[in-house]
Amino acid sequence: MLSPSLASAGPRSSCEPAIRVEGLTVKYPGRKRPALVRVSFSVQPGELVLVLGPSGCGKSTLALCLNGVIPHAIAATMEGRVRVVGLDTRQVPLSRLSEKVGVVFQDPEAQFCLLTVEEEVAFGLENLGVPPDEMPGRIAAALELIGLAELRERRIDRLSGGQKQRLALACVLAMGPEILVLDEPTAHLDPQAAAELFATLARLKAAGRHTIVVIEHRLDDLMPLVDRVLLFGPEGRLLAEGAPRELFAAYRQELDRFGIWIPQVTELAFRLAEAGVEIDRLPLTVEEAAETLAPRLGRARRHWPHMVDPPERQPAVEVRRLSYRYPSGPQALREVSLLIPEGSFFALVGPNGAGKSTLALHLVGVLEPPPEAVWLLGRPLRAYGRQELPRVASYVFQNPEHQFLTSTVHDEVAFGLRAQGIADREVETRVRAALEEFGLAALALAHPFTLSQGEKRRLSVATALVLRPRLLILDEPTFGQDRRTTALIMTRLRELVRSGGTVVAITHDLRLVAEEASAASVLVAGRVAFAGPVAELLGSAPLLRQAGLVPPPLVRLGRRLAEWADGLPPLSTVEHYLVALGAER
Amino acid sequence: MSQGVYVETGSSLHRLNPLTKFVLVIPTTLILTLVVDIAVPALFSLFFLLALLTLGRVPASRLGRALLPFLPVGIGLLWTTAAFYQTRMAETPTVALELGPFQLTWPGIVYAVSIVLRVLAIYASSLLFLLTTHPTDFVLALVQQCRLPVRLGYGVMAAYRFVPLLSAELAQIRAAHRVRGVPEGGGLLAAPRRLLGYAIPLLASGIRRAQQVAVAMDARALGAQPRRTFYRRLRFSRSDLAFLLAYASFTVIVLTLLVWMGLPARLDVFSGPTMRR
Repeated sequence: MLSPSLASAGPRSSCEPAIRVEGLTVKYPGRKRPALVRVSFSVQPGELVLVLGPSGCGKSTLALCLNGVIPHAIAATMEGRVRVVGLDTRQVPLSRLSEKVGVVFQDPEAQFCLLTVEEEVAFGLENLGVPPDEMPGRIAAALELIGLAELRERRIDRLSGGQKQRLALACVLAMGPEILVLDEPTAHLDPQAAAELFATLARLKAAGRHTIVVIEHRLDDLMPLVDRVLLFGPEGRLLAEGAPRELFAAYRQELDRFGIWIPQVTELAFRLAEAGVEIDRLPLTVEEAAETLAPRLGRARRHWPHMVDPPERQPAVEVRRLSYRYPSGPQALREVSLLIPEGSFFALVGPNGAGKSTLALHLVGVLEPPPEAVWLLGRPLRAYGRQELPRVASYVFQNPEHQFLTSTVHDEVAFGLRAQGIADREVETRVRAALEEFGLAALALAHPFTLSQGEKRRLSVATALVLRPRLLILDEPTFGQDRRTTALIMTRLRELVRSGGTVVAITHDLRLVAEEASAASVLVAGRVAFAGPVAELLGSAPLLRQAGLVPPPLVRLGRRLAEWADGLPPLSTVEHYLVALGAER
Repeated sequence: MSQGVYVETGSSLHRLNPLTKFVLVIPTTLILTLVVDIAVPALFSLFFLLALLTLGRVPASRLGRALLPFLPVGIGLLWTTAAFYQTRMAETPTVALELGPFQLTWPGIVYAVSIVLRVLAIYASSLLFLLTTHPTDFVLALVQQCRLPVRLGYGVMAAYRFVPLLSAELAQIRAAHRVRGVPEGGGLLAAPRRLLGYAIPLLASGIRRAQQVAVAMDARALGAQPRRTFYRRLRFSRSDLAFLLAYASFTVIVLTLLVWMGLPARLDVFSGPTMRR
C-alpha cells in the first residue's frame, strides 16, 4: 500500500514509534460492515500526522482506538493490535492509557461536566488520583501552554467556542500525554477561533514534546505543520500514506471522488495546471503558492475584465429600521435596514450571536416584524397570507434534522407541495425530479434520520427548492459538508439565482462568500456594520475581524502576489486567478 | 444565560457546603408541621428571607421574582382554607365576611393565614438552598460526602450542562417546523402530534450529545481508578458550623418563646387551632 515514492518525509528516529497500529479491524455490534478494516501504520515521536477520509470512513473510530476507549469502554470487537509508546492498548488499563494519549473531540459543548476552567482541567487529574497539592501547578502549566492562564477561574459557560476547544486541549495536556489526538477540533469554530487553535497547535509542535494526530478538513492553516498524511477510503481501509505534497498529487482523483477537502491553494494549483499554467511544485500553503505563482505574473493581466453590474432590479427583500428583543433576552436587532436585490446571491456574515438568524427569521415570518419593517418583493411581509408566504420564501436551517416532519425521504420532499394543494400527479413528478437532482433517488423510502450528514443536508435543501421559492434563506449550508455535497448544493443554488430567484446565505464560510455571493452584509451586535459588494468585504481586514472571520487563503494569496505585481486586481476565487494568469479557457 | 433560579453573588451563603443548606429544610419542615401558629412561621420566613438578602447578597428583585410563584399558591390556599374552615365547639364563630354561600369567620381567617405562612416558611427555606447553591456544587457534595457513585454524579453534572442547549434547540425546531408550514395552534389531536414532531429531533441530538460526553469522560479516565482525589474539596467548614448554630439558636429561642407564653397546647397536630386572645 505504501509506494516507495510516498515514504515519510517527517522526522525519523530509530527508536520505538510513538504509535504502531497493526492489522486493526473494528466492528460495532449491530453493524453489518466493520468501521475499520486491517489498518496498519506507525507514527514516529514528534511527528504530526493528518488523517483524511470521507465522512463515515472510521476516522473517529481510529481516534478512540488510539487512547484505548475502544475496546475498554465501548463495546466493539477489535482485532489486530494498537501500541502507543510501547504499550498494548488491550493490555493496559484506560487510566494508564489516558496519561499517554489525550483526545480532543469536535463538539465544544459535549466535553465538559464541571463549572469552572480550573475544575475542568483538574477533572482528569482527579480521575488519575493525583494528590491535590500537585494539581494547581499542573493546571497552571497546562493553561499557560494553550494561552488560557487568565481565564483560570472563569465559568465554562461564559467561554467562547474557541476558548472551549482550547480548554479541552488543556484538559488532556494536564494529564501529561505524549500523544495528542484531535478529532475535527475546529468543526464547530468560526474561522478566527480555528486560526487560534491552529496557532496553539503550532506552538505545541514547535515545543516537540508531543506526537500529534489530527483529523481535520480545514487544511490551509494546518498544512505548514503536517509531516505526513494518512488517506482513508470509504470502507474504512487505509488507502495511502505519505508526505502531503506527493500524496495530494498522486491521489488527486480519489480525493475528488470521495469529496475530501484539500488546501484551497493546492486545489487552485490543480485548476491552473489544467488550464495550462506551469506549476513546478505543488503548493500546500499560501506562502508556497505565492512563490510558485510569482514568476508567472509577468504575463498576468493587469486590466481586469470589467464586470457589468447587474441591471437595477426591485429589491427581493427590504428591511426598514427593524429592531427586535427576545422576550427574555438581549436586544437582538437594532434598527437594521437592508436591501437585498432580486436575483442575487447575498451573504449574511457576522460573529455568533450577532443577530443573523434573528434577522433571517423575520424574513420568512417566523418572527413577526412590525407592519412596515419587512418588505418582500415589493409588498409588506405582513400582507402575505399564512398559506401564501411558504410559496414565496423558504428557509433551510443549519441542522437539517430540525426540519424533518415525515418518515420517508420521498414524503419529506412531497410535504410542502401537498400542503400547497398541488395535484398528486404533479407532486409525484416534481418529487422524483428533485430526488434525482440531489442524488437521493435510491433513498426515497429511507427514514430521514437514518441518512448520512451529507444526505440530510441535500434532503433539507431539496425540500425547500422543490417549492421553487422566489427567496431562499440558508443557515450555514456548507457546515460540516464534504466537497461533493457542497458542490452539488452550490450548483442548485446558482440555478435558482440564474432563474431570477434570490438566495440569502448565513455563513462563516468565506470561500462560499467569495465564490458565490455578489453582495454581503456584516452584522455585529445587532447592527449592520457593512452592506455592499463582496470584494469590498474581502478587502477589509478590520471588517472581517469584527465578523469573526479571517481572509480566506485565496484572498491572502492575492495580496501576497500584489506585492510583486503592481496593479494586480484583488483576487479571491479560482476563476479570478484563471483570468489573471491568462489561463482563461 | 440564566438557568434555574440560582443567583451568582459569591457570598458567604454561597460558600457554605450545599448539604448544610439542604439539610436545614428538614428540621424546618418538621417544626412547622407540628406548630400551628402565626408568629412561628412568620419568624422562620423572616429568618430565611433576611439571610438571603443580607448574608446571601441576593438582590431584592431576584428574591421577589423567586417568590412570585408562591403568590397564586398562597392566595388559593388562603381562600380555600378560610372558606372551608370548620368552626370548633370551643370557638365563637364571629363572622368577618360574607360572600354568597361562603362565610369567613375570624378563627378561619387566622387559621388560613397560619397555614399560608407555614408553607411560605418551608418555601423560603428551600429558596435559601436553591438561590445560593449551584446544582453542580450540590452533586459534587453528594459525591464527596454521601458517596454518590462517581460516574452517576459526573453524568448528572454533564447532563445539567445540556439544559440551556436543549431549550435553545427546541426553539429552533419550533421555528423550523413553522417555516415548513406546520401550524402552531391546532386542536386536541394536532397538539400531541406536533409535540412528538419536536421530540424526535430533540431526542436524536440529545442522545448523540450524551454519547459524545460519555466518550469524552471515559477518555479522561473517569472511574478508571478506584480511588480518585478531589481538587476542590467541599468540606464542612467553620462557617457551616456557625450557620447551623445560628439556625439552632434561632429555633430554640422561637420555641422557648412559644412555650414561655404558655402555649404547649399549640404543639398540636391533630386538633385544630385555637385563637390567641
